[in-house]
Amino acid sequence: MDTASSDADYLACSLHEPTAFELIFDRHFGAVHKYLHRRAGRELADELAAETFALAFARRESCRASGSVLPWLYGIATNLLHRHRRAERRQLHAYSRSGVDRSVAYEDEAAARVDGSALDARLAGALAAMRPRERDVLLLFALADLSYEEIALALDVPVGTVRTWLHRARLTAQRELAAAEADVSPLATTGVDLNG
Amino acid sequence: MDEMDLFRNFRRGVAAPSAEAQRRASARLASALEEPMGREKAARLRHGRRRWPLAAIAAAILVGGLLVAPAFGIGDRLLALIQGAPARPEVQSPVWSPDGRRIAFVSRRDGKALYVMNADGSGLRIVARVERLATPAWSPDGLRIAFERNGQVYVMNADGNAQRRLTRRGHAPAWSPDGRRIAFVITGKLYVVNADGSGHRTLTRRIGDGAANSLAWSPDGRKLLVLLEHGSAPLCAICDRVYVLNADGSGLRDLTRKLGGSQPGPGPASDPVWSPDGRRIAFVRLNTRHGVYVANVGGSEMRNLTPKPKGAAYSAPTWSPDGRKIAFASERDGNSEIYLMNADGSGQQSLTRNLAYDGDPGWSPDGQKITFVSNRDGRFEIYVMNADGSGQRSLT
Repeated sequence: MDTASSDADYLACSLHEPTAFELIFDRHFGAVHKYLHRRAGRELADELAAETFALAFARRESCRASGSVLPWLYGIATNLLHRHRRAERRQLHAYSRSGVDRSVAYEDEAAARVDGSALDARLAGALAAMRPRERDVLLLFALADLSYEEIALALDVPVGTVRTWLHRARLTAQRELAAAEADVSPLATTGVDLNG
Repeated sequence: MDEMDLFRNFRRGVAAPSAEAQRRASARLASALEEPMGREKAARLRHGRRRWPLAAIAAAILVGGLLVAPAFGIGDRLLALIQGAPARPEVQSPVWSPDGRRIAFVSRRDGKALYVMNADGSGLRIVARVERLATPAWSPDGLRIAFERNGQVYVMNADGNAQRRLTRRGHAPAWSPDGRRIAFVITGKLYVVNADGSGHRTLTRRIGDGAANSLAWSPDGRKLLVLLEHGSAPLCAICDRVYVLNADGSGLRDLTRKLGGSQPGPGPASDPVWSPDGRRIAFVRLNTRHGVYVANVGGSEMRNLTPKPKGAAYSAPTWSPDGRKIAFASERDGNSEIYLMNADGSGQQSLTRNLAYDGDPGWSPDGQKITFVSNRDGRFEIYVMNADGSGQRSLT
């Protein structure tokens, strides 16, 4: 079954048969909720995910998606997140400092405590240092797996702008990660000099 | 659990929404569905539209439920994106010998060293240990290599024998096309020396105030092209300007003078290269309107060959030996890939496409192959492909 074309079909159908929109909800609520959960914590995600779908339904006539409507939903969710920028930054700072944001629940709590690296904390610091739109494109690309074109559709900006923001986000991330690296280097054990 | 363990959670997938959250959201949507229902139902009845078959809805819910939602841990994709194009991969700068039989490159894999291998990847060996990964320079006859070690210029046979220090200080050695002289740079000032070490002389006053990143003779040996660091801002790796001058040191011209200053932020340009006919220079603009630019040697007719897509990063343009094509690396698709275009900017196409880093393209002297650096198999290696992108394989 071609799920991509079905999305648009359901949406078109929901214009005269509103209950068809429930299919969109059933299909994408989990993904939208997880995206919001990752960015703003579980509690806020519960509220914003519900609001995303209510808003999406109200605006369904304006949806320009020809395939999957997920990018469009992520776009609405991302815009709703902007009202809660401080919550997201607070969460990122919590990661990058010594504490952890307890509002995030993990798929596999046990495994989450076993491996990984301190890079994640530095990554959180780098994300917190970005401008909101740069963080949006980076996370829509990296977390939500959207293409440049889908991000452009989600945020309603030209695809060139997406590239510019993503490029800047990467420069910021690289700079912040390098700075974090420099901060910890005195504690590192002596080894081969890896700088060319 | 210690603090580090808590950090590690960041990359993990978050849990699915609770049943309660889903129920409440569903109820909220249901109330939204109710509102316009009266009006829409009336319209439907008026137009006699067919009701959506319940069976189709049920089937769609079933299929939709089977779809796997992404986990939303900050995963490899984000890390690859941010770290995917390291400024200094551990393997760098593959350079073909002028006869196309061998390839030299530098790597810090087993300590920093200069390597040489045959063009098919056989006979790989370390020919010299170095302290800095600087691009080596082949002699025009392909028998010798000039390279930088410990801030000094050395010359050796291509097999690593007969190593000889040519100058007490010096960076970025470049061999003249007639093989008789070697130009080099010491803190922003250009010098030249005969290939046998005699006739050391100064070419210019101090132009820049840092190291030279690249220096190259024009194909006819009459001019020099140099990328010099400007402004000694700490941590500024790319505050560079491109200069052209006559081989006797006269006629110095800043090709980047119209491209804006370098403080603060990135310098205007990097990666300058001569066209094979010596009449044009390609380089990458870094400060704004990013792209691969081409200009006449005099600096006129400067053109951005890659105005679109806007905002993408570029590096390492390189002309095909016949001067008709330019290969380059760009992050226009999210991470560094190799692209090819005609020398006028038309016909742009990607030669590589994956989530790994692909960069540093270099044409074989016969124009048939392109070498590049990639970490597609986990670690940085030298790869080769046909000039149309086919037959990609690792050489190291």
